[in-house]
Amino acid sequence: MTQRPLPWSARRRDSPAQARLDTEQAQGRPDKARAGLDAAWPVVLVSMPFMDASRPSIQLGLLKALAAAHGFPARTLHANLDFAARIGVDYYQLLSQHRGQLIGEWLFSLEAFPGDAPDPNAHMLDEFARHLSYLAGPGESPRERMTRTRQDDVPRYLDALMDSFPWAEVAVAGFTSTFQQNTASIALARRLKQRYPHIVTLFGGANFDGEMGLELMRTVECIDAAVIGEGDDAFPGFLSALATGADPGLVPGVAWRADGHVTMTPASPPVKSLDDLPAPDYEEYFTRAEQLGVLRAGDRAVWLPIETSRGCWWGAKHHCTFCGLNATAMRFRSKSPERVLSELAKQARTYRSRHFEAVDNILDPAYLRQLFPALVESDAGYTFFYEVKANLGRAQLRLLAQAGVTRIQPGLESLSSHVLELMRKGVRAVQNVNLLRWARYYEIDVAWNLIWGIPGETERDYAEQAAAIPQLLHLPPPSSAGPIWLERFSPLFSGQDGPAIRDRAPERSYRYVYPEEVDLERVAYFFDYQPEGTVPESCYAQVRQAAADWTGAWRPREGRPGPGQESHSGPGASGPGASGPGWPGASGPGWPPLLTCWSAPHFVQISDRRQPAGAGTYTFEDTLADLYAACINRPTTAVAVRRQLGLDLPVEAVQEIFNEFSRRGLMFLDGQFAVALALPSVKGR
Amino acid sequence: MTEFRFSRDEVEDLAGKLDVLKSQLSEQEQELLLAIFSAASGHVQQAGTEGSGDTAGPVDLADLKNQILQSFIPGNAQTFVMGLPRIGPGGEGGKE
Repeated sequence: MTQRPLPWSARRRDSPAQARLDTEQAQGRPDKARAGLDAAWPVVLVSMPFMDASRPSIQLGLLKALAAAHGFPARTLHANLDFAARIGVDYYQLLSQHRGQLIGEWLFSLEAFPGDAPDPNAHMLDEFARHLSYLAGPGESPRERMTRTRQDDVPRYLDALMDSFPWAEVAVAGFTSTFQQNTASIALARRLKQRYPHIVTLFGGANFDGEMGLELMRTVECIDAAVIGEGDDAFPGFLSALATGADPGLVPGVAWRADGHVTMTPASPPVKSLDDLPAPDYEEYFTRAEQLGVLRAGDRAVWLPIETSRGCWWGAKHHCTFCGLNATAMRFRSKSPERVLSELAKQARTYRSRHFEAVDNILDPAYLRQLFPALVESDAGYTFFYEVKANLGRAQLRLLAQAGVTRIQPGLESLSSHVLELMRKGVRAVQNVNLLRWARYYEIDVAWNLIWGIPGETERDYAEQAAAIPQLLHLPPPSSAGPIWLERFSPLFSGQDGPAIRDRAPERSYRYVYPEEVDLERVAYFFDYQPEGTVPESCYAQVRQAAADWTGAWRPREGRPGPGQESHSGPGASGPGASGPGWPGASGPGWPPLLTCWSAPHFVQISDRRQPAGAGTYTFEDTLADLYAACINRPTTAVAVRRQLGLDLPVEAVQEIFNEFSRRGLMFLDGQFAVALALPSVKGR
Repeated sequence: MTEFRFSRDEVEDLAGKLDVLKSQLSEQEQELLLAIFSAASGHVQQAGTEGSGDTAGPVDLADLKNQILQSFIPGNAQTFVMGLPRIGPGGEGGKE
């Protein structure tokens, strides 16, 4: 978009803050310090439904701290909490965690676009009934419950929000929008502009990246401005422009509406030094959550969002074909270990929580050499969630566990090396399996998805995965299994790898949310499509069923604890080599599935309790034991093992033994690579 | 321990009989019986094979594959836990 600066003076004269400033200047106080100018622009930063209610918004926390650092009085309003309190936290959380159809956006669309919303009669609930059935309430069908929410709860919630906050004192209302927060934010902004025309509304967040933000600016009049891309410089720059009377349309990264037109100045390069950013301010989240009863008073066992890096170092080199993250800021930047340690200490002390959820897209590998050893050394009691690349081995997962990492999200995506290569994931299936093994061993929860529908895939890719999965039942199952979602900004979307899809169209539920004048092609993030170069749908049936069985094998049975709640008591738990969670004897026979081994020189014994029907014990001695033990720590090859053990056997014979292990489900083979599937029965080493 | 020899058929036959008894045993009893059964297999020399020393002699593929065939004993055993002495109150050396 071309840059077309417009005069700001007409708008700023409308504001009471500017009126006060004008009065001060007229009274002979033109030299008032810049701090005084900034103080005349009180800001409130708002997070609307359907942001997760269980944790504070890092966007609000960081922007508040940035505004404060530039002298602007800022408050945060986690207005999503009010809605959670109104409709019930459990129901709210179901809605906030829903992915796929835009049910959250649909719920607020009547209030966001009164008279123009496309689905007043709730046809969307019919089209997607199968996907929404789990949203039924006590004694209410999904339709009844969501219709009541839309027609009663939403308008009352917005009315209450308008009446319960001192909006008259606000000069700028900033909305951050990610996932399904657009229509709730627009609905409130519309009411604000009607009752308090002086308030400047500013939008930003992932939903406003690229042309999505510009299209929303073009079509939704209650949005005065939007930050397109990272806001660390653009947001305070925008506030400064307002305070000094400069043209906000000239601030890099800001789209600005004036005289009915939208202009934008291209963004500056993203912030380089994350160490220069302030720590997020979460205090108002806790205050409000406790006031509303969403959190129990004094209950600070909340996962605090923390940002230790931005961008993706892998994606900067090899953009995974399906990934739409980091649209305009792929370049990887991370905080120094010293800064991370000091921020952790500050946040833990301030908010009385030791749990940290890194919002990073990928763990900085340098942290494995510096930050995590320092955390182990410090003996701090933090726990962490991190997204990681799946090439982590035993030593690295042990280090993470020792440093307090209890949850990870590796981008596994597939158990086929061919499919992984097509995705440009940069790992093999055997590495994915190895990560699952050692994560289980070190008691790190793993969240991952099994996905398919990659151009170039073959039927064999899925037949092999379906055959392998029953051997992996003792490892953490996928959270979901299904086709790739087509995301804006991904290589598949942009077609940079050649035409891999056809019939691309905004995901169907968008048309039930936005008015006709909104160009869904420009505002959508998720798209429907027909893939090219993929296998027939029927080829996924077996792997889909195998994944379902895998998940089912981990589902807690009646009277038994679920993953993460496993008992540490039980036979042998207090003895040497005590059983860890999920290890034999920890939580009763048959659950969760297990494949464990112990070894002595030239001896390996394996207990197979993956499936009750096939339970038993394998005992290997001498060469067989040596061959198996050589594959326990990490993926290796027949050539390497033969050399390591100094065997007289030809490589082909070693490979044949690996094949025999594999036929019994004791080893995972991937091309020339092999890894033992059993885990040491003695935990934590 | 008295030397005792058995064949794989005998092992599987006994495992089958245990299945028949399953309904009469508590879960804990089933676990215990199978654990003893599995733990014993690690100590008793199997019929027709020689005990192993610290170093393996010359091996060939057919021999290794045969060993793999002989390596499995069915049953929901808990060798690794139940074979361990318990330490502390109520366990070996405890006062209760």
